[in-house]
Amino acid sequence: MSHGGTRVDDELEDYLRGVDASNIDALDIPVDLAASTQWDTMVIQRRDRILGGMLRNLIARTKAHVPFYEQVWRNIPPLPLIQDIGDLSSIPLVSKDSVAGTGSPDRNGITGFRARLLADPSLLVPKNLEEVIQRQEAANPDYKAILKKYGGRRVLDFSSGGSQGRGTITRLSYLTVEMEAYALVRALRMNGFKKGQPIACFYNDTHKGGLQLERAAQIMEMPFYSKRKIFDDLIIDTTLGKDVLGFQTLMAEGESDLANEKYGRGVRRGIREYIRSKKIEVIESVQPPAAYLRQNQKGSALAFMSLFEEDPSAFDSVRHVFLTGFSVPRSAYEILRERGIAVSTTWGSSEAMALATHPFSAGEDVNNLIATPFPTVGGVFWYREREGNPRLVPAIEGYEGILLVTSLVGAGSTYIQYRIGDKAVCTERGYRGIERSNINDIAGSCASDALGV
Amino acid sequence: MVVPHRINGKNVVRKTFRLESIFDPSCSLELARYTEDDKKEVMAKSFAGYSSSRFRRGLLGRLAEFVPSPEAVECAAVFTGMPIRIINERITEGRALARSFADLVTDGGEKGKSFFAAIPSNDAREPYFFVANALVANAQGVLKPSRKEPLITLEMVRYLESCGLSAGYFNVIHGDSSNSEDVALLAMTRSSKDISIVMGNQSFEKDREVVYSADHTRAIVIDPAVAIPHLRLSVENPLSCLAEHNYVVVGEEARNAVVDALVEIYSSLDSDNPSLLEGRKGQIERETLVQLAAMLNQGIVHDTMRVSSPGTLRERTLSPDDVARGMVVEHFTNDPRVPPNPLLTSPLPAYITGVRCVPSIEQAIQDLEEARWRLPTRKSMAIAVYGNLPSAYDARLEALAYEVHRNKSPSSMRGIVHQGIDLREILRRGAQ
Repeated sequence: MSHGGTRVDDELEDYLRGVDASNIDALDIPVDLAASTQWDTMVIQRRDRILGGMLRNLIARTKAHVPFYEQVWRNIPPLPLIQDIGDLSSIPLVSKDSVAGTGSPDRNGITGFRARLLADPSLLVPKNLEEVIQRQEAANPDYKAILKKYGGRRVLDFSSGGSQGRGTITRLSYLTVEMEAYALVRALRMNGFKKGQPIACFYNDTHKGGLQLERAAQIMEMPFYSKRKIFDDLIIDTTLGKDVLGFQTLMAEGESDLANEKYGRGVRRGIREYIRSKKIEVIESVQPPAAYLRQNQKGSALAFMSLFEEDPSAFDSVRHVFLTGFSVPRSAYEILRERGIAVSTTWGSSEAMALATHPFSAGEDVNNLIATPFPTVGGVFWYREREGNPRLVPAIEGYEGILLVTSLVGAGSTYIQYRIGDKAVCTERGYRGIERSNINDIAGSCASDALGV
Repeated sequence: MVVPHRINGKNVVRKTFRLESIFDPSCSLELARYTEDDKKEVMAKSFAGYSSSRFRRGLLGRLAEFVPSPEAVECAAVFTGMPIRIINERITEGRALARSFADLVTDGGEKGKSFFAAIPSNDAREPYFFVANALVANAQGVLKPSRKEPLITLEMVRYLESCGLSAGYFNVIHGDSSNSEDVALLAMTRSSKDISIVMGNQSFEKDREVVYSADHTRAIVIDPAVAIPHLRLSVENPLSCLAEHNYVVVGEEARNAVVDALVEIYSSLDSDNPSLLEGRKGQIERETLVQLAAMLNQGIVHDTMRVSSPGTLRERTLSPDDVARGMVVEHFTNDPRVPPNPLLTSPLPAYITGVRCVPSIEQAIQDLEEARWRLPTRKSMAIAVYGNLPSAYDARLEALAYEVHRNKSPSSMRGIVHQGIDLREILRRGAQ
């Protein structure tokens, strides 16, 4: 299986020539083809028809095997009318949490499914998941080698979205996780990541984002230093081990203020020494905006700029900083760019990866993202119900709206027109200003974990 | 400048903390922290001595002459963001209030309750109002001014002591609310009193506490002809905690009339140069505007809110600056299975007026009842009803707010601060 740039592009074209491109099911696509840049560069009308066909097939099997959606979709158009990915706007949204103020005494508002999902983690999972996984395996002859990379686990559970209530489980087949990892590779290449660059990543590998960043690094042949490894090495090898242990202990006990006060400086010094000694070139981390930090002082301990500003000279080897979990603060990327460090971001979540990314061509604003459709697609919509039946209207370009995401795979927890809780501004090529509707809502995310909160 | 406590007739400072103005970080104060020794001194003297009704009448007359120093007024302006002109207007009204309260002192002189009172910073009449009520009720206790406006109350008590008020009748204390030690000591002091009164938007509410929730004053409009003459008063006095920010209007025709009237009021205020609203509203923290814009934008994209005025803002993404200029926003009765519209439950910082059209009085009451459970306090401070409300609803209405004003705006009460709230009875007899 190849995953270098142009070869996978050729493989995707070969694949598309060999099938009815307007009637593909994403389950039948080899996972590594998600890394093809053709998804982003092919003629848009062609791509939209291909993705439209995938959506139609996804809806067909979801309707048949995921009872939750059967109830939600009483009034959707007949399947033959779903031809183009733009037809997503005719599919109603689903939301983990209820939306305050919606509906009326005579009509349902947007009611959330969190409680139902907590009671039944398989609520969104097709009843024929085993059959679905086998179909994916049939499309990936080297599935056994891939399975080994996931410790033999055919189904993986990830926690997501604990901010509004208790966190829920997103359950995905290993091949879905792998396909998304390839999509992430595509995004990271667009960000400017290069083979061979050593990466230090501050996301925990127990979160899907952290796991997929590590897998993406393996695919791109970039030496990878996870947060776990960095901390373990610091404990063993350095005089700062006591600080790291103390920090971890207090954080585990929920004493984040004390952890930062007593051990934060030492831990950050240790991390910087590590970056210097390993000649790290890429850092994957989190930088919350000032408004978040004002409400959450504990989040500043491992925030990237806290690390950087204490001693910028430790970052002489660093060429690229990848920040996600929040919109990247302008002050952060301006400071880093002044030192010749590239800054990028990619949007992803436990439910769906990767929606959009900031390649160099997207201009100066790091939060100006280009959509990276397949296997995740999205849209920015307005929900309208006061005049007529509830419906979704695509937001006008330049206007803020509700971000809805869809994973076209459906091999596990199936998210179709899922209201993730982020708002976004629709742009010609993607999105701008994707952020939580409430910036303090990051509990349970890999960003919260990276901050050590 | 160092701002001390005033305890038993003396200025006391043991420790201080620095407070910077969020509007002008170059301006700062050193306020006294509240220490264990401060607490001991406050609690050492539980009763400052009897004050006759004649003496208290005299003191109210002297209170009516009290004018805070220019330094105190400037400090209030810098730290609250309110225009000096408004603060001075409020001081004049506070003095008039104190003068009028002299008539309320009854002979007899039954001792009132001991109290702990948190005085907010939004209105310079608050210290006058509170102290006047305490003198009428012969109630002694502790005044805790807002850290944003700590000087007017302090100067007032020093002044009254110079007029003969017993030392310790009113103690004035500060404290660093971000410091857990200060907070704990303040809580102990509060619990040691018969009653605790929070004039503002703080969220503690237990037995023996009365909390007036400043930002949730609302109105039910049944007859717009009765309501419309009062609308301007609320819009023009955005900093008054009795200004109505939400109108629940019964019937489409009434709603159209109310919205038209509000649109006209907002337009007329904005067209003055500088606009009347600009001159009266004061600064709002940027972060508050950002959060409010986010809330409104969420409402717009989910069709739970619509900007009625200005028309240029309809269906577009609002910026914090848009919000700061003021607007009329409609919201709607929702599915009872989802949480209520945040426009009805969130405090609106003065320049937003919400309007909700409901089909019946019953729906209006239900909506407000649903919203009440989401408030940080048990009840709103006040609710106005314009039009004829059948008496069958009285009990439910009274459960919604401490004061119900029928066919008159709370804002039109004499002096626009808690006037309709019978604080002296609470200070006399305690929380019911």
